[in-house]
Amino acid sequence: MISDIARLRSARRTIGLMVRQDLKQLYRRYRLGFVWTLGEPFLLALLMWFVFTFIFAGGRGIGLQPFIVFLITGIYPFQWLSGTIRKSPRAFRRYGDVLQTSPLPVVVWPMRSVLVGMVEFLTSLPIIVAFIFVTGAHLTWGTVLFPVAIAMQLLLCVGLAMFEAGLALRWPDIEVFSSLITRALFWGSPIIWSQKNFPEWLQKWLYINPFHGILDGYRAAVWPNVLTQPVNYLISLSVILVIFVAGLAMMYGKGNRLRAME
Amino acid sequence: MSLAAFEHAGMQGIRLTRKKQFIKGVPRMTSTHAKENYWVFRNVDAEISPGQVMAMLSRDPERTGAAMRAWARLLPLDEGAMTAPPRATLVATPQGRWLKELSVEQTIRVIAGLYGMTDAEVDEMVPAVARTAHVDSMMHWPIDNVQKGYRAQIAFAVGVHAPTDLVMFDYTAFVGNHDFRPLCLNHLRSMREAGKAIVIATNKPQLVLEVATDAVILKGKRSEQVSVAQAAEFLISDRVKNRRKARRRAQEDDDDGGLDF
Repeated sequence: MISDIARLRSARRTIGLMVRQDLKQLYRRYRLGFVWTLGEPFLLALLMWFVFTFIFAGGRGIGLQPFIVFLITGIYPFQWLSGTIRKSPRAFRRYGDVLQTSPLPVVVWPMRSVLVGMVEFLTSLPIIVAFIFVTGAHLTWGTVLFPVAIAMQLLLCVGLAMFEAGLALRWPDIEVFSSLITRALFWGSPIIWSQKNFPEWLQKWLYINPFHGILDGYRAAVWPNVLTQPVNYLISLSVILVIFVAGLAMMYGKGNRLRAME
Repeated sequence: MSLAAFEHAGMQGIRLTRKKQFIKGVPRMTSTHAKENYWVFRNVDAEISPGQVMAMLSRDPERTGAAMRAWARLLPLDEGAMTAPPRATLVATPQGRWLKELSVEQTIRVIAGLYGMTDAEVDEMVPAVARTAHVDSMMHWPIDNVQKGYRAQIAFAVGVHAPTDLVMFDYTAFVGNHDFRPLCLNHLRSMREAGKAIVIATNKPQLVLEVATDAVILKGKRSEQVSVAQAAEFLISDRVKNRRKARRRAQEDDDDGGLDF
């Protein structure tokens, strides 16, 4: 495993090229190409904003104001997470023949989709910042937590990708479950609601969903008061670490013959 | 002193077998195939030293591929023992979908990276690989616009310039367009003279006769070390058999009847 980390470092430009190739391939069929990576979550945020502001007018209290910024700061990171969850079970099947002949660490193949999602998210940052200013919101001291949240999400996504990709070789049905997991995470995370809608005794337990802690880190840039007790973030971080270790075990566990299993 | 060796080596693989139907004519609702272990190769004794070229032959390309992957430390053995250098290059046929949307230069970089070169080694070898693969005048062209044969030429050239002592060509030692193929033989000879150990899986008797110094035929139960002449003979007889089989199949198809117009 340690030698794999060293090999990852020495092959980072090759991996970068492959991620670039994946990004190009992803959007080559569409006329607007890469614009969709920003456009799709943006249109979803607009739709949600319309539904929850005008149709369910009584539901105004479910998020923070300006609500469109609240939605956008939730949906763009979620797109990265959901892309990882949906694509990871297919990682080894998609790159099976390369996996059999290449000495690159096996973790490279699930990591490709994680890095593609990360690039898409980083590209969306100017849109998020533009919306913050256009709607009259301001960046606060909480912006310093933004890179921390990105690092936490990267760790979570890599862990999930390794776990799912490894599991899919033993139990291919995980592919069906991945879309269910994505939906559960969408409604179970504070993307369109905030924890203030829940009683105080329950709030701590919401952080068992690690994405909750991550979203607070992003949103603290505009609403520093979303931050709760530090112990809640420790809970989220612990869950992320557990997922990461489970992912490593799935990849490098005893008796594992990933290449032979393909 | 040998660089890589197999001693009574065997490797198991997994293949899918169709499960029985519970009720005739009713398709199974759960998984239709079961995994089954089988011996990809068994009882292989072979060794290769610097300056040698070993022809690894088999009717089933899976066997040679698996043996090479064992020497490349990509797959473990299930039986016997093996010695292999810490690093070896396995040159496999580059698939089109590995390289979509890349330029020729990026293709060289990605293929070299996939074969295990570090970024620094890739940087160093790009110009030499481009010259050997005859693509130095089209480095910025999209690879999708270049003839398929050039991909194989690039893969071969990466193998030629690989900074490892053991280089294995898995059906990639005699590739490319008509002008390039004779050059492959020259490159392999100069690699051999430079002291590299080379393993080639091939079905070309000419390549075996002109380049190889040793040969081994891999089989499911017992593998055998043979002379280069015997290896070439094996390939030629195999070709003749295949041709006979094809002719017989064609005749059977003709006899199938059907409507003549």
